[in-house]
Amino acid sequence: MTTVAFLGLIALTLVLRQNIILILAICAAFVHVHYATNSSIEFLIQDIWFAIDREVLLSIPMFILAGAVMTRGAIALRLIRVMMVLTAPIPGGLAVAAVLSCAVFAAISGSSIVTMLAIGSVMYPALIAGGYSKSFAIGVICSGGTLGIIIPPSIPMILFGIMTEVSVAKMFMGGIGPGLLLTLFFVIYSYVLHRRMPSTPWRLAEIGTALWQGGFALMMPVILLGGIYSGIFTATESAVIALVYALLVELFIHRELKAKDYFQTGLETAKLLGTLLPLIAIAGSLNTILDYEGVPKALVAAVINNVSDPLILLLGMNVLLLIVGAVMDIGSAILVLAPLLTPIAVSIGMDKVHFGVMMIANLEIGYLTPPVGLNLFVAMAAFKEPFSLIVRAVVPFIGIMLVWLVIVASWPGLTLYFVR
Amino acid sequence: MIPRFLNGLYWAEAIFAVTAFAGVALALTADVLGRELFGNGVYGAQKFAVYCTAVAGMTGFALVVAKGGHLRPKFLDGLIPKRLNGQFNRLSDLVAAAICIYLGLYALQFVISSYQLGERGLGLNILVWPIQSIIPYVLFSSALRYILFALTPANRPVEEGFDT
Repeated sequence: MTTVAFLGLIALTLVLRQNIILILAICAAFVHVHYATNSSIEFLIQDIWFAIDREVLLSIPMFILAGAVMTRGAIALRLIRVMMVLTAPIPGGLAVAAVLSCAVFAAISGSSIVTMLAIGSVMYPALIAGGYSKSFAIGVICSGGTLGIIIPPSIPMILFGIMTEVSVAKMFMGGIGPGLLLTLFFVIYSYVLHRRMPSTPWRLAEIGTALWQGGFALMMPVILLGGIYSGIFTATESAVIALVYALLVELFIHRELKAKDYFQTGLETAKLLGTLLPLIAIAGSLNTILDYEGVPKALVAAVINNVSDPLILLLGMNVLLLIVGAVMDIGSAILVLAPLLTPIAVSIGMDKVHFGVMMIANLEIGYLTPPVGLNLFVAMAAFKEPFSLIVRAVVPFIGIMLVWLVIVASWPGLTLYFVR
Repeated sequence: MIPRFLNGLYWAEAIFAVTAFAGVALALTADVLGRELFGNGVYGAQKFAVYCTAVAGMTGFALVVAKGGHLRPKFLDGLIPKRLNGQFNRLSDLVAAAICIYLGLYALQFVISSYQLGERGLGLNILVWPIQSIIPYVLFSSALRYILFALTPANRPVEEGFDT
């Protein structure tokens, strides 16, 4: 009866057009009152406070802020220029430059949409002007944007680390191999598709100018990833360094941001955090209750009793995550599912970091699949193209990503190479 | 009158959130630079940054409500005939306000209890109830907005949030 009431409550809040945070809050309140032992709504509020009163959260606003400064400033534009001159002699070089620009920007931003917009706003018109089809141009920008969450730093990786108590720095290291492989796949596809397009030879003067102007931007991923990999910085410290570096470069070298821009950047970051922090807090409370009630352990036992083949379990988890990625936003999916699925993955001998990266790889594909597909909707608004065209455009890239996902899931060494 | 009030509230909260964010950035920068360059971080800087993040992030929730930017599952929207959308949105705002007030009252109780117990922070020995007050404040501020949207639909923001 309680379960029927719970499902009814979810359906009612959906029909009543409530936002995802309020739906989750009401569900959490219901769980505290009707499912949890010795609990009440006071505990939900207490859990919310405990969830946000944690140092581990600090890297999130810093990476969001650093990404926002870089997107508003000239860093993205200068990175693109470097990639364009370097790939000029390759047939289809502009397409390759689009992928590489997304990959390099992904190494300084932790978000798929930020990466897609920062690179796409410049590269999409350039690709169209360069004679590339609309379908390919929008497909490569939408798919390239998803590199933002698999190449570290990555906000979803931080969320996974928080929810499963895995080192965020290790998660970042785990993302490097899969991120580079996906970049390589996109580059090969872009090249093969446009191998008959004309190319221009390298012009040393152009390369020199682009490197001179974009050198500071290019140093960012080196400092960030180098710092984390060498153990000099923790994830939070690297986020601070990223922000300080971005501010110094914008203030003293590029000098294109005005005081008003800094305020707007802070405001946009506060809003983004305003959608994330309450979600983290409420999901944290649900997680505490589930843990207290022994739900993850019971779930592992039930799954292991019913499915003895680890391969089928792995396949099942991937299918589940692909479906979830298509119908749920990545933040909510990680916050709700990571604590439940990680123990199952560990029970079949998977490393937590490998599972985390695989989970994010699955959900990353969800950025390109309706009905949620955030990149599709943002691209529709940003590039003023019909939704049907965008959906068709990403299909070949989804195919590539599915092949990549199989490799990521079945080859732990790819993820764990930099972790060990 | 109502648009001016909503606009004023939005900018007051925006300045508050951005100031808190500046606090996070300054505290963490000072701490990290102090540690890397001089071998000593700044006492309590991390905890101060955590509190500022809580304040900025929770205020961000209200700012997103003001701009209609929260993610909302829309797949059941079609159940309601389009001609009833206006009335249904008002009902939806009233329900959202009720949820915020309901949770806000519990949050207020939590803060009062923290005040009465004189709870202090770990890592930064200050009373935490003024910081915890951001939770009920944000819930009541959002509830007020939802009520005003329901009363004067012209002030309801166009939803920015994408389908989930």
